[in-house]
Amino acid sequence: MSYNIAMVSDFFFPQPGGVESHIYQVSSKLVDRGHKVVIITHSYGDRTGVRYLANGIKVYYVPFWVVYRESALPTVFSFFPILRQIVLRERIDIVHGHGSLSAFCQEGLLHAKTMGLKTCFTDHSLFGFADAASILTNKLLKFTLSDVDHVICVSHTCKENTVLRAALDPFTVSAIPNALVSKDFRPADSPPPPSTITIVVISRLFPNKGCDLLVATIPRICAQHENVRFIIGGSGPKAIDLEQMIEKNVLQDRVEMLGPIRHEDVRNVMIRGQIYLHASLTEAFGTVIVEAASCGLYVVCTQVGGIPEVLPSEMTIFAKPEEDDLVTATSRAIHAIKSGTVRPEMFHDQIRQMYSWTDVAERTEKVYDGIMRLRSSRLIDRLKRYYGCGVWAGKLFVLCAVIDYLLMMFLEFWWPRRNIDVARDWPRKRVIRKESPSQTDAEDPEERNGWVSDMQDQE
Amino acid sequence: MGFSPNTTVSCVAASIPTFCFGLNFSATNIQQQLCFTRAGKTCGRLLEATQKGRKLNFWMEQEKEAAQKPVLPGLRVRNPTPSTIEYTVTTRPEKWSRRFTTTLVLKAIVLGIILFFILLKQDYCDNGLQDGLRNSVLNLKPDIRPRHLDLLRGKVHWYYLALLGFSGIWIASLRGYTEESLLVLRGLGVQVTTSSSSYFVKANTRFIPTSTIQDIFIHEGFVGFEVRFYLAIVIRDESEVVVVFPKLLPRREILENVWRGSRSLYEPEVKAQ
Repeated sequence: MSYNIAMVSDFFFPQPGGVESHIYQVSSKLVDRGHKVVIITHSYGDRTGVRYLANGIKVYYVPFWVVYRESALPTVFSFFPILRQIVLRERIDIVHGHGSLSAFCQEGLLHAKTMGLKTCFTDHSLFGFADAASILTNKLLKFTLSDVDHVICVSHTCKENTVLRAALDPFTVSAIPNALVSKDFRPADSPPPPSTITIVVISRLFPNKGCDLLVATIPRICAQHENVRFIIGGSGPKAIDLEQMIEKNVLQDRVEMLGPIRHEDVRNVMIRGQIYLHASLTEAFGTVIVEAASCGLYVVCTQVGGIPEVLPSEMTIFAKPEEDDLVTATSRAIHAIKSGTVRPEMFHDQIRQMYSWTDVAERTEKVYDGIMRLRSSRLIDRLKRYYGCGVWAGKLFVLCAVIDYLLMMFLEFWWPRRNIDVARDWPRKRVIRKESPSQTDAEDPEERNGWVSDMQDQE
Repeated sequence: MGFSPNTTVSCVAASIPTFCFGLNFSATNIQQQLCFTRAGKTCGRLLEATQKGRKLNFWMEQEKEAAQKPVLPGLRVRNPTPSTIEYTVTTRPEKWSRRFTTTLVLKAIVLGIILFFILLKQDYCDNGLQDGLRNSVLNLKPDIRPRHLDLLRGKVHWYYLALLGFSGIWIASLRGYTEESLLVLRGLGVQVTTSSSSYFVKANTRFIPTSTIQDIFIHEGFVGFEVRFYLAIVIRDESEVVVVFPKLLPRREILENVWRGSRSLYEPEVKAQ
């Protein structure tokens, strides 16, 4: 059984980031497994219209206004006509939204439900419950998620968070972690000598990534240990604080600021060091620490969010998100590297066994199998669910859902189904699904060959 | 039926250019050949030519009939010569169909009303003059004139009437349909045509020589709230592609049909289907 899947999100290439690469990698692996995947996102600059990516993934860059940090303007209904066109012409079965801050995703899920499609949502971030922005987002999320067939979270912590925020039944929520392309994150052929310890920090320099912690700890670590150097990659509003710190403590020869780093250069920066320091204050998954461990770095990280689930304990030293504890933890890591009690260069093979996108795609596919078996709900059931969302909000949501339904009627009249051309599919790959438990490594050439021979057998 | 050399030749020569564009040269060649043949052989040759001409005519009739039948709804294909092919996409109504007649009648009504107003005005002006100078067309007697009409034409100025007249003519000159075509001449190039909205304005035509064509492809794009397929021609050293059928943007089946035809024709080594 193969499905036609539409991934809807505001965040996609050419913008770099975790959600973006997640969507691309999962889509690519799903295509490998014989599904058809279409990605719907808003236009980026002059990148408007329909494009194809490698593996025959079709991307619709819908012309839309962008309001804040590449999020489209949250209009409730304006996306419906185009979404309907795309869904009909691509014969979509499942609409899969990504990222709770994406207006496109929220709208897409609502309209898809109105059109009677199956929906799925992947949450990539953690949110608080207290500040105004979070409350608003949570309310909106409650609206769209109260009717979504299944929710995927990137870690168990994230799952807990989402269940609480959107008041979901935990049985409809799965945790499927992110993965990485492990062959892009091989350790250095010759590891740097342990005489000078180099600590690498790669992160967007925003307050929530713990830049203030870095500003406080780096001078102390430099004072305690000689022969310790820092490499900091990334850009953001907190870069200026770090630069001030360097100048104040005269650390120009020990702390190197690289500025923004492209994702494909991350490995080249990482292999220059032995320790990776991650001081984030909130993190749903933390792909970057998996990448660091895969590159053969010993990871020092704060014990927040989904980070503790990501790596086995022998690869990491955890610290509380505070200055003193982070300094102690880093010192322990420096001693461990100097004394040779940890062998970070062995991490790569372990990580390769643990994380692969093929595995992620396989698990996502199981979610799809599950939701395709569900019966689509009637309008009145949906309205009941929306009504239960809150005293005032419930009524508002019901109103939105009803207008959405009427809008669909109007669209059916104005642009009838029979006048919409069905697009030709990219030639699908023929795949025999293996019933045996997943073989996690697709990057392995032998695995690839086995796969090809499977295809030949079928022919 | 007796045949004379002149009629046959002219028949052949005349019928060909009206039908086809590409065969002009060959038609004149036939004429020259026929003219310069020696008297002894003329008769036989002419007989042959007539038969050929008949055959050609018959073939053309067949072709014409075939061309009239749309391959796909909304697409008309004309194949006047083996090396020319014209694809036309149109919203023009069938002759004497309901839409056609309605448009015609509506236009007639608009023009009639305007004409009536002008005559009424003229009548009014003339009535201001002496009786002997009256030469109005309507020539309505004051007692049979309806009151409100009288009031109306008194108030309407000539320049309003002129404006009304021009807008009426403009409305009547509107086509009410769009016709777009792609003419493919093998080895020469393609010509894209989009009809104008009015009968007074020339159609928008562009000829693209084969040497400048880089590629012809079908792709999708956003048009308003829709996603539509379009056929586009990439031209060397131009930043923008030329969209074929830009106004109508016909359906995918039509575009694929046209695309196949255009490819087979602009690449001389590929045989036409």
